[in-house]
Amino acid sequence: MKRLLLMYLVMLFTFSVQAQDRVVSGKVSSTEDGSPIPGANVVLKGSANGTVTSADGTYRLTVPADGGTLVFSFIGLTTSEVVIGSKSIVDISLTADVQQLSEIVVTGTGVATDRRKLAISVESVTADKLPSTPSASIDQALVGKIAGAQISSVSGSPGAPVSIQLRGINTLSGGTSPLIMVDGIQMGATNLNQLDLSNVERIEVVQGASAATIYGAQGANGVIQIFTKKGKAGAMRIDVSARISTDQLINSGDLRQPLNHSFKTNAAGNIVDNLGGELKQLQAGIWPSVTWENSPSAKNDKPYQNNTQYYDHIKQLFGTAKTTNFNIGISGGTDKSDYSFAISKLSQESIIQGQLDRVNLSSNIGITLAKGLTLRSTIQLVYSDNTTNPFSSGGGFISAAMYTWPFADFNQRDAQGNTVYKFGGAGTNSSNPLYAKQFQTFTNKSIDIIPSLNLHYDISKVFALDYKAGVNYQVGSFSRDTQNQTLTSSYAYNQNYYTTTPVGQYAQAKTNQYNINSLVTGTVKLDFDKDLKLGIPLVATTLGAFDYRRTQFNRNYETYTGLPAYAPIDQVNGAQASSTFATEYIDEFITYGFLINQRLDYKDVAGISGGFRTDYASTFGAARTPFTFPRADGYINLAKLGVWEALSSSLPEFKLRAAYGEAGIQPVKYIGDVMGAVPYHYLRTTALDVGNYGGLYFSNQQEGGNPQLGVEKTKETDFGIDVGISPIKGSPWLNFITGSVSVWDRSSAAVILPRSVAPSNGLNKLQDNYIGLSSNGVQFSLNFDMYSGSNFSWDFNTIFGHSTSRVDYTSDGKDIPLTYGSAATYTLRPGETIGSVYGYKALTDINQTNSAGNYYLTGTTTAPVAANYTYVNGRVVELATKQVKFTGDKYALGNTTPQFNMTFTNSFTYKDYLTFSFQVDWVYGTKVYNQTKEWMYSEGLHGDYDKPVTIGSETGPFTAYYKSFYDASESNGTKDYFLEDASFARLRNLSLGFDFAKFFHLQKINKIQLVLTGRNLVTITNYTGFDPEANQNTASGGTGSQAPQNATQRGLDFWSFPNFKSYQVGLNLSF
Amino acid sequence: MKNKIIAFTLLSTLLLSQACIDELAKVTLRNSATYGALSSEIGLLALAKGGVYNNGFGAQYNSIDDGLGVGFFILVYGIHESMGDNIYVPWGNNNFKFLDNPTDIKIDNGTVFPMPIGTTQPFEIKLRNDRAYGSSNPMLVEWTYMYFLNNACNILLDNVDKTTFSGDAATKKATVKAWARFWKGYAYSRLGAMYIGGLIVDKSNITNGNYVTNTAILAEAKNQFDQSKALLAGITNLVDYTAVMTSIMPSYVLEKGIPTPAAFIRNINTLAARNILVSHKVSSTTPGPLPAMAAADWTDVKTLTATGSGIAATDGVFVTKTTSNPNLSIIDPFFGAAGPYTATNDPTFFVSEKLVQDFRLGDKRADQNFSLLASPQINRRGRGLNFGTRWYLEDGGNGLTGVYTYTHTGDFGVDSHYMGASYEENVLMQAEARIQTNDIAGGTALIDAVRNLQGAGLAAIVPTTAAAGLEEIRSERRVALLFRGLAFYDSRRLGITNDKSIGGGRGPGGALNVPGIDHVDGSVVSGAIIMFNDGTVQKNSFINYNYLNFFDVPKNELEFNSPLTGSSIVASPN
Repeated sequence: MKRLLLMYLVMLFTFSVQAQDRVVSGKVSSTEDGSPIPGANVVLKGSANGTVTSADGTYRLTVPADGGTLVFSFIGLTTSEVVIGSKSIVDISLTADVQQLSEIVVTGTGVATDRRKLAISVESVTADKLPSTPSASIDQALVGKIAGAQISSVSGSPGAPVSIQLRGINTLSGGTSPLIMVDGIQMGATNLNQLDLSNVERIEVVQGASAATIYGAQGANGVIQIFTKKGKAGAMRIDVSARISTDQLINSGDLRQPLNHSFKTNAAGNIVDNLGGELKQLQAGIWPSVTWENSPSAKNDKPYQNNTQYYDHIKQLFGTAKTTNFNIGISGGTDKSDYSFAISKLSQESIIQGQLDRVNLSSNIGITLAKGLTLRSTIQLVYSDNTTNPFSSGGGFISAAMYTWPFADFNQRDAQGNTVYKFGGAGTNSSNPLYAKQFQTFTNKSIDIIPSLNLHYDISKVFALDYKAGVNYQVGSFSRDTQNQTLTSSYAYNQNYYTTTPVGQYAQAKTNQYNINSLVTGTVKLDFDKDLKLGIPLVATTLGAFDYRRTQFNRNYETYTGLPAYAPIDQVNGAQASSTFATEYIDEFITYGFLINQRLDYKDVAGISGGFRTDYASTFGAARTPFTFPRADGYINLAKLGVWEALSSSLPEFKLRAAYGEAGIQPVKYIGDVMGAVPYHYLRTTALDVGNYGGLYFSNQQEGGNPQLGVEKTKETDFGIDVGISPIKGSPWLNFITGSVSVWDRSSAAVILPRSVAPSNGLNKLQDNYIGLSSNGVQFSLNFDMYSGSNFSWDFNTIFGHSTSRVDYTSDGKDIPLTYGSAATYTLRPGETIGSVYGYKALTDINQTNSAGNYYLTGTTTAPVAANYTYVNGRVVELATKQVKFTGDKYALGNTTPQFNMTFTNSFTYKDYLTFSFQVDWVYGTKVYNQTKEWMYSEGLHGDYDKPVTIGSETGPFTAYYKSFYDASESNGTKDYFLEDASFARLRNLSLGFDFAKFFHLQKINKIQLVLTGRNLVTITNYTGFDPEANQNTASGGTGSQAPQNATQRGLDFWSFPNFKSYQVGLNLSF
Repeated sequence: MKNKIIAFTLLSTLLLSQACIDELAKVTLRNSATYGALSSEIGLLALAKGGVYNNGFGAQYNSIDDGLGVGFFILVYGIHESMGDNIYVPWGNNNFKFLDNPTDIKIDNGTVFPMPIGTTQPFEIKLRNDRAYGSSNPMLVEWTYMYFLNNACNILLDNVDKTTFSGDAATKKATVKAWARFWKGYAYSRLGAMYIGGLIVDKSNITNGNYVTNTAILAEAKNQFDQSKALLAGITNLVDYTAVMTSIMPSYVLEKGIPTPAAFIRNINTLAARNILVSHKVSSTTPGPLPAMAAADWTDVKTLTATGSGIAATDGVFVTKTTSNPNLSIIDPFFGAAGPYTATNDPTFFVSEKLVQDFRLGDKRADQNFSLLASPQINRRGRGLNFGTRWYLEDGGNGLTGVYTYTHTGDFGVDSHYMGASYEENVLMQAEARIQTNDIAGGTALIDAVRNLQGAGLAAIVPTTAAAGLEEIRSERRVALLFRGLAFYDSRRLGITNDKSIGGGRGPGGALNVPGIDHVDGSVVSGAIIMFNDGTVQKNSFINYNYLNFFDVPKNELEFNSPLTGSSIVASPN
């Protein structure tokens, strides 16, 4: 009976539907460019009746006779509702969703999740928000785009990576670089800055462990996910752009050598040599020694003249560089497939030496193989050729230039037309960077391929399987060619360029590296209401994944020494060398892990999730014990609770979220190498290296391996609020404001650092899980739809980040002094902030005493005689010597971590053809140790020496006064004077675009846009070096290698390569 | 559709099969050998070679790399040669600027100039003996090299009996043990001669906290030397001995071939004599806290260095060299040692005027090896008056045939960088012992022999007083043994490095006050030559060096290895 009744009802219903049937059709297009939108959802409101638009954006839908309301929606566009009424054709154009709330966020191995339902903090940037930087690199474009992240451009050398630090310092050995994933696959071999910026559709940054647990033992530094451009169904679209820029040195602190000197001169004011004769240059560029007068009476006020003219070494070293960049993109698709192909070419000159050429080819093809089964293939191919000298980018050229007295002319040529190598008495490190340019060339070529396949199968509404496999392969060839210099006049004068050898050398290194990433994900998405008919609006999503990764790094070194002197270097090959030497280096790493995650969402009101990941790895000790990382999160959107119904139109979102997670970092270190850092995954093993001469010995570092070494673990708790406000209704002003605030706190235990041991053990260091670190921070982003009128719109966006990192403990309770050669002293001390600089303080009162109660000035309990001292700029200066006085013991002088980073971005659009935007980055409360300046003070090489000071009754540019800053307490010792406030505000980007196609209403052409862009045009800072942002310090110490950015010695300007400012003209065409 | 599901499942299975724990275990370090390599003869002998030559002398250790350029022959010999005032190093690297900076200098007109950048060498370098100074701690350098050398030898000794040898295993084991004991003795010799105290460490990779005096360290050096000698004396199978030594000592570290067991013993004897000589001051009237040489000590030196006991002219000795294949050398083929660092007219180390003035007039070795700088160095970087010179070391010599030339930069294999003792050193110790035991003519004849050997072209010494003979010894040791790491020992045992308040110093009234030669004009100078700030050459200066007699135990050691109760002092009182 029941069954019959049911059948009757169904029939009745069916009848009634049939009886009232009619068809509505139409087209969905984009407001932005009028293009059809395929795949848009068209649903009859209040029913399950709906369809999807076809490739040309059209749809047909059967609706009741009385019409109803159609709901049109598409990802990233504002959902629109249209009352059908009596219409049979309903066309609509959808506009981009300014609220940015409906954006889909895909979190790596996880399930694509609507941002409104995210409980973790994920920063997302779409391509249109990324500036077209001259370097055309993704990392440069990300500067100032990610709230909370410290992304800084620490070197202006082409190809130099930016420093990326997401949420504090949580690891020390391998740098803070996050995991990079492209279309869901780990990219392990290729640098982020080698990818084509113009091919990026969207970038997501997962900053902390709470979100990165799904990446397991490698996620602790956060994750940057790149999504490349996909074709949209519809007609073929062609985008072409061409840009050219001119790049110049940034010297915001007006760094220069002094215009005057205080060398000993004769009656005519000409500099004399040590024997009293007038200074004249000798053969091969060598100058005799001069006497630098630095007694208390000496003044740096004598002009360069006659034999000794002033040469501006900064001008002689740095030039104007040109950068060009061309891109072509072709994309399109049907409802069953889509395609996107792109090619780009970059040529970027260095402002010192060399050039980076890069060609990127990309394809992204998606095919629907069967219902629910899709296949996507992406391939990226990168060819790059970088001829910049790694020593110049490491500061070697800058130090050579600054360390030579200005009367030496770098452009000088000897009788054979060669530059000269050394200048003898013209300064301590008086070598000529232009000599290195002439006799040594570098090439660093690489081909990177990043293919990936993604098979996705929606087996049913409930169950989906996804398989991703990707390979990142890089083959690189590096060569350093040093010409035979034995016939040069410099060599004849015993001045050979001995960085390698005067008889010439070919040093080649070939690198092969790959990483394979293979990932299976299964998801079960159960809607308790729709699938189980339980009447509960609850969705349970279960995720299980298996993730396998393998990396191998292989580098072969070949050195050919002793080249003939007769041929130009490019006509000589290794076969003509007198000796050959070859070695090979291999690094290998395998890891795999399981991830299980369970998620429950109640409508769009609240949700929770929890899970864990377990990882196995080849680095996890003899027992191969796996490590497990748990996670959990939850959110509640108060605005959707219903109780705020009255408010919901002006407060559509008010989401509270919280997340907890753990993630890890593998035991690894990087070994500096001129052609790029070399990974080393064998910290557990004590190595006996083979010396050049064939004997075994304990490897260079004298670091003992530790079989017990484990993964570094970091835990993070993250609380956040996401808010959407519509403050003013019915006005073009302030339609919408979205904001997001996150407060996070994390701690890392068992952080790996080689710990010091007593040398009599036969070791200096032992690899150990030695340190505990913690960090916390707060970040926010605010987006204002300031004005949206019919002709004009204005968007304003600001992001903010603050974080600090501390050392919680060292397992033996000892301080860790971080010293390298001649650079400032940093110390890791339990309880103190990372980045603290220790050194001597200038006395500000003559009666200051040390911890023993003795006066600094006398060293005893006898008070100093006040009449012997005066104050200059608040510092104690001894009248007789004109020397500034410093403490004899060391203090914490300050910290180089910024108090906050903030960015303001404004975008204006007038009608549809004129755009204007600018971005200002503000780094506040950061200090930089100006080691460059201290070195330049050592021999009167810094422009400050020209500046008069008043000491007691005397005024003048006293040499002894300036020299004392270098000499006092410990010459070249770390001193507060050189730890400078390096806060800065930088006009990072300024862009003006005019679209002729729109202006002249051209039909078949979407865009003819001329864009004028300026980058780094203005810097406001009190910092006195070249560039407050440039402080590249590598993990192997100092600036001389290409190892990753050092986590602990940030803020050290040690001959840093400054950034450049650029003026760029670009043309974008779209058909 | 089914097919697709199957394909998908297969794919997943394939993936799962990729991963297993076995696969993880296959990932091993392949760039370097590990301890397992020592179970084979070839591996153990490779460590016998590399552990000594590289860990002991060639390695560039991060902990002491202050950016100047490292390696035992630059840093350790640089410290010894500069504190002995054969050279000067004005740079801040490794705090050389304090290591070789005299406390005060009196120029000809009587004006005294104190060290301009600090107080005294002992104060400044003790201050910098701190972990906070990182690699620029000057006291860390020699300690590090020698304890790493000692540890490499401990590992050899721990493993040698576990290693499978081919041929006459007993001889081969004895050879390796003798080799290891010798280098342990060498390490303790250097440590005992330079540090106030030290540790006797006999276990691999593990130290102890029992600090003992430098006297006890030198006694341990003798103990190791004696064990080595006993092992060598027992070797009769020269074929297997030579086979082992040939693989340990490659051709390019040989000076006169591989030492025979007997020659090896003679090398040890000469070093044992050196240990006696350098740990004592010359006589009880010499300033300074070192114990004075007793008659028995001179007899011991004489015995140890006698013909048949000490190194003979034809004996193989322990050196390193460079090769035509630069990659086969443990040191940089161009600038890997103190000599090459001093060569060229824009050097890193500078020739001291005090060295040049000690050459006798007419000594061809002076003409051969020194040239005038285009313009003199004066008070380099304002760091002190002793940082000035008119000379530089001529690379490859000035073309005089048959005259000893100190350095040949980049001329592979020509220079011998002596790790151990040399024939000349043995002869000059024998000469000194003879003069001290009243055989003046016997002693000076040996000085002449060394001079003739090196082509000095000087007339034979006419024996007069013992004092005159000893002055010839002093001068000749400086000249003949330059860059062999002995200069500081000699300055110290002659009392020169002591403070002027106890009679130290060089020049009028100092421990050393002898006429020298200004080789620019051939004139006789009465005191020390100093380049003064105004460019004048001061020829009667007095230098009050006031250097530490012994280094403190480095804080890097003490902080991680606290002295146990009963340990000797670890900081040098003077």
